[in-house]
Amino acid sequence: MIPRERIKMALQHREPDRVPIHDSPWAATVDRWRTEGLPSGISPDDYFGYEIAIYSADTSPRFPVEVLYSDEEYIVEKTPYGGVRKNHRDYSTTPMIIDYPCKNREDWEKIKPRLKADDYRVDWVSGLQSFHREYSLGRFIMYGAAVGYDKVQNYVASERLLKAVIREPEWVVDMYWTDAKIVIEMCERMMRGGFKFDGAFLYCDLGYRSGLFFSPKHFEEQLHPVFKELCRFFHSHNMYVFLHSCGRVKDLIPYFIEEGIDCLQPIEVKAGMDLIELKEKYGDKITFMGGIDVRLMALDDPKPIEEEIKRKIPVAKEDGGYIYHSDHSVPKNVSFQNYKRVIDLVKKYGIYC
Amino acid sequence: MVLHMANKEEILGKIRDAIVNLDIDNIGRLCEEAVRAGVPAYEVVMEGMAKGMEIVGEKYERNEYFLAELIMAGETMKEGMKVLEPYLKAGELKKIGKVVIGTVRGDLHDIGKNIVATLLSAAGFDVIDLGVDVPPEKFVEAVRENSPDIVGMSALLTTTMVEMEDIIKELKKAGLRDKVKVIIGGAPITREFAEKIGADAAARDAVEGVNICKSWMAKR
Repeated sequence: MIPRERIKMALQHREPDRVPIHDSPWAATVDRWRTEGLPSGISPDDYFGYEIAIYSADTSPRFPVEVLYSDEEYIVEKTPYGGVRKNHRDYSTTPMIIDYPCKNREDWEKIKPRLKADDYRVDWVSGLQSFHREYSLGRFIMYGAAVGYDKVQNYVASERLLKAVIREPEWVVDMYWTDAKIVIEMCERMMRGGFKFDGAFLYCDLGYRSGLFFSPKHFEEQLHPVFKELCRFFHSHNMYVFLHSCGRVKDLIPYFIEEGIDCLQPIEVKAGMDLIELKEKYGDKITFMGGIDVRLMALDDPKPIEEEIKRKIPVAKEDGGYIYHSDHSVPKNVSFQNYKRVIDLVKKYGIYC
Repeated sequence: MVLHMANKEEILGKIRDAIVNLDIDNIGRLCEEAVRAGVPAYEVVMEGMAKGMEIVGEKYERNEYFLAELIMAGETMKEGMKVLEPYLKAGELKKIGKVVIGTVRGDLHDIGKNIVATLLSAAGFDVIDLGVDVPPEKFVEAVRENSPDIVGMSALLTTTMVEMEDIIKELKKAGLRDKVKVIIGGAPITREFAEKIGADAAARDAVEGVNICKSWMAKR
């Protein structure tokens, strides 16, 4: 069975040969693995048999990216959104945005005209070359885009944006729709240009460890219609819709189902997202991807991660509707040997008889 | 000016409501009116705004308010403080405790830490914010210089939370560990981890963190 068929069956709540596998190690993690046995020249995707390939367009306002400062440890750069970010040189974590381009709605109105779709937003040569390779390998091909609240955080500082959710809802909604429009139009352009997508991978963090960034009421009024439209568009092109949202987003799952989201990822354990509980409650309506506690992968003791996989995957995989992924991404404190064992265990407990 | 109790209660009630209803547009005016009516600025802070913040915290715990409302309430209180500060006599607004807070070395994330700092200030703590990517020696130096009651550490990442243990070790080495309570927080932090590294508490979120700090100070 090729990955594309395997993932489609899982999404259709049917049982394939085994649970599909995908994951997201950080660049610094891969660097570590190279020193511990990951052969040079072979990507983790190929080595571990990840089954999804994601292609994106640049949907930013395309301000020039330039390095403002760097030293042995950090790099400070201008972002394509017009802000300034600081990160570790090895890009081992999500960056800290230290300046934002939009302090108010007037700033946004100045940026808005830059958000028009065009063909220069896609790296056609290397993108299509890679796409043809991945497609021929049978991988599930996805259009990837940050959307909604998560995307708009590139323009407006989080605290400022959360205040705007309460005080300036029209502005927030305008940002969501403007972004959704370019996300849709760029997907259309990529399809016209030769990409064939099986699904869309939308990134939109809506929660943190203890709960939601904003209330379900604000979600329903401001973002729910945008997600509905995105799902309508992708479904009209026979694409499945995956939503990545970190944090404790349990209370939004009924909205996701209503919108037409097909798969929710990454089911963050430390935020109280319990795969077994969610499977029981919503398993026939939405597919879950993730939910395996990455903190246990870093331990020297191999038992806790085996217990985790043995306990969760047999329940999650029942009647399809489950794709393996760590519960967010794989940080550099997970060794190559430990991770190899994780994938072996997923295959062992993820097999369908 | 003679201020009747009933009037005073009504005025303070309006200020509490303004905080709870996140009424940032009117909080300044209400504070000004309260002071003009003869309510001491200290009482406007403690019996009006701080009480309002307590209600906001309770609403958050009951899942009626979310992060957006917490931030908004903190900002509303800041607006009120801008008006009241000139009326507060030096030393009148007694701080209930002092907290040194920072995001640990290697970690650049500051939103959670900032929210905790805002809520601690609103609850009456003197907060010394060391910022992000703070090395252990800077925590030690800040404790030595400021003699806080509490040290708060934040980390978002599993790869940086280990720094917390080093900070506690360095505080011990400097002979300062027993002089402070240590509270830790952030996405990967658990009570078990706090216990393992010798912290006094792990906070699930900003509201719980502030409540723990307040309970420590109440016991002193």
